Amino acid sequence: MLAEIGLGALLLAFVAAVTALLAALGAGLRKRDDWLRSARNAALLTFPLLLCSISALLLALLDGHYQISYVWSVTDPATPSFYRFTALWGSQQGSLLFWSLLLSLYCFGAILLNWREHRPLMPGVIAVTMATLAFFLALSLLLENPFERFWLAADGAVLRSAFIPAGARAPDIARLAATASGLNPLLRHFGMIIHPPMLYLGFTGFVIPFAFALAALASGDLSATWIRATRRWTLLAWMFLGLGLLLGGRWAYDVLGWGGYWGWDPVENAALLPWLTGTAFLHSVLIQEKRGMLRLWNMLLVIFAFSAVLFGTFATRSGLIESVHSFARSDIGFPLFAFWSAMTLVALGLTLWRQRQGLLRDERAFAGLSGRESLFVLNNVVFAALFIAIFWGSFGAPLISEVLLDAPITLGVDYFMQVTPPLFAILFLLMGLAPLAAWGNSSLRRLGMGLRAPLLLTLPPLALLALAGMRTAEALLAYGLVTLAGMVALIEIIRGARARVRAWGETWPQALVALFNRNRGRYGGYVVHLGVTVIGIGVIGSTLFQAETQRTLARGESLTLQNYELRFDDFSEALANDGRLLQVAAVTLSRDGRHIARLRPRIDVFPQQPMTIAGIHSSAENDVYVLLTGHDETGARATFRLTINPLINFVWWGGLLLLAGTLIAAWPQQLSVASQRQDSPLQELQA
Amino acid sequence: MTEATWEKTALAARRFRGRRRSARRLHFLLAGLLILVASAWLILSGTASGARYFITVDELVGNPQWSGKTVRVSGAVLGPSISWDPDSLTIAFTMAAIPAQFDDLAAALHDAVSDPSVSRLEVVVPDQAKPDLLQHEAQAILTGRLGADGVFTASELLLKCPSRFEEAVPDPAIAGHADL
Repeated sequence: MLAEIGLGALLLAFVAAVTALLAALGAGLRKRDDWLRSARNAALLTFPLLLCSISALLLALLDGHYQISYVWSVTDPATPSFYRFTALWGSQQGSLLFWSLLLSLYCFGAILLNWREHRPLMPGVIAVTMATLAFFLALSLLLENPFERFWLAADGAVLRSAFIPAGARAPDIARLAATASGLNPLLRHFGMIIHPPMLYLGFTGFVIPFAFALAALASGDLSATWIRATRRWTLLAWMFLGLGLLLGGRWAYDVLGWGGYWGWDPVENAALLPWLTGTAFLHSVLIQEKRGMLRLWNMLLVIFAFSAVLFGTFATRSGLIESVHSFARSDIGFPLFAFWSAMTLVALGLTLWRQRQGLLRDERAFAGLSGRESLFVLNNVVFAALFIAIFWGSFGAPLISEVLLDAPITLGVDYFMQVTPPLFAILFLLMGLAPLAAWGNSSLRRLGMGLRAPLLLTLPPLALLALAGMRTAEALLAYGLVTLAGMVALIEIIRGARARVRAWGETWPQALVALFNRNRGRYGGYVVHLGVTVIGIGVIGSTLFQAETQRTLARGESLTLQNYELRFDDFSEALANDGRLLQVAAVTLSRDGRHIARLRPRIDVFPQQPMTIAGIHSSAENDVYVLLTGHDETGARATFRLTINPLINFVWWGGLLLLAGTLIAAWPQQLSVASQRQDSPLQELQA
Repeated sequence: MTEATWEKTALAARRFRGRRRSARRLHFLLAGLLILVASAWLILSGTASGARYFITVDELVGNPQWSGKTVRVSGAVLGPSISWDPDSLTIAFTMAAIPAQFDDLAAALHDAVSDPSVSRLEVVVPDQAKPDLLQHEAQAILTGRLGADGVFTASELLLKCPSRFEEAVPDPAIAGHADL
């Protein structure tokens, strides 16, 4: 029954999406408001219908309806309820349906929140979002149906079909349960309950800015209207995607057992590309809002952000690339490729058409190199270069070489570690300079004056690091740039608050609250910069100063790395409730001869594959990461890999700051009485 | 006369401002161009040094041009040949050639290990704990170099067992066919 309900709701959602698409197109072409209202109603209906459909699938997963092939392939009777929930996105069909649900949720929100203010753009917005939704729902219905069930044909063959085939009957459920596959062990991690939803919320969220952009292009209203409507949606999608990337890093760190969190894997890179494009857009859109410039560039960024989402979806879900994150080879590759190509070409074609009509012409020219808009544009150039470099390394070089050369080439971590650090360094430099520059014709002298305080504050931490023994030029340069960017953001916040304290006699907490209230976008942005700085500190530390060793030890023997000593004490095996065999080593970790932790690195042996779970001693200074990588039959000798990851926890803490900053920036502006006080000195300082 | 002087001064000031604006725009364009050229150089040099040719065991064994070069090679692991020294942490095994293109990875791996006539490659992986996925008929993807002694020394070892997560249909006997 659940399968019928889920499939029925899915089918109705598809019909509603197509209806909304056609009605919106008609409303746009014939200027019919009644058709537009019909389009809105049909579009709004897709979310509750998909909620119903996915609820049916979730209930089937929780209740163990193993006749549904998706339930059979991602759970088994031993799967705990917690992981039955995460199994919803544990494989292609479920995650595709979940993707559509989130897409419809965004459409629902965008239509309700923007209906009155942006009514003229609504035909285009509804048409684009519903075309995208209808496409993904068609994939679910025709190629990756999560409600297909197993049937036994008269000749005994097991068939998989959404509807009962002629002459077939339902198989025995108990026997199906006994053969169920169970969830991929790699997905049995707490992070999996939140990492994919965050990532998908990020991916699907970019459809709204894209839809507004296309609606503006189609309608010819290329004033700042569409930009105003899309900025907050972009910020939301960008935040979720950033969180998804960070949580994915944490999952890889905990589960994949290689001691790192970012492997420059093509699927990771596919998710990074729209995030980079979104970051560039969030900066350059300010220039369009404040100066009426970069109108064509912003349009292209929005188009490329969503195009990158579609390409990433195609690359991940088609089986085109090999990755621990990718789905099995699937038939949806070609339709996804065709849809990606079509959407990108249509969007670029419309942009070119409007550009030729002069509707995307800038209102001003750039005044000088040291103006804030010029620095923002240079930042965009670096983001574009990063995009190209990462796309080339992940997809361009392998695919083009396969066509042009005898032997295809792949570019590994070496390539990315050579190409991206200089570009990130320039980004941090610009992140430090841009807030100090004024809009328009700012002078280098003013920039230099503004830099004095942050530079002075950057020097003491650098000196401390040098005294602590970190004397390599690349590390000092990297930490110098990152700290400078953070100091600039911090000083800007303090400067604004101090101005309020002096002008209004407010206490510091009052001044800070009022400051953030008054200009959430700007000061939320500074908190994001602080978050990125903290992430940068963690990334540099854990990349440049990671230390590692590996040895086989007998019980009682030790290995040392830097001033740490690891002693192998014991080995045991136990069977867990969910059927996995736990092989656990007990080790003692000491530092300078002082006992600091007893860790239990282990191997979880699932029927499908073993998983290496690290024992981690975590502190602000570093993580000591211990892997049990092998053992003999009796457990008398075991092999350990010991890794020291300096400052790695800064990566996760910076993520929290980034989240806080984005929420501040995205929160709707509500000017309190206190924060509305405006006088010229304050305005001048905060301009 | 006064008016004419004023006009000349205004014209000169406009020209001066125009020249200044052009110079600033030029500075700005040069800065952007510099970043782009530097990025292009980074990408090209990174590609030149980081490129790894992905070849088959057949191509590696049969072509001396690959000897001594860092390449990626893929093949099927022969289970009985696997040895691991826990003290030196060195793995050694033999890998059989699989074709560059195939429809079914599991079948390609099975055919490769079953056919004694296909090319084979001796592999050594130093400083490596023994991975659990290193077993008979696993696909190994190695990055390393072929030495003059004909042994491939790998610096990176990736393993895949195709049967693990393939979506399947339950065995009819278990699914209830026995009741019929």
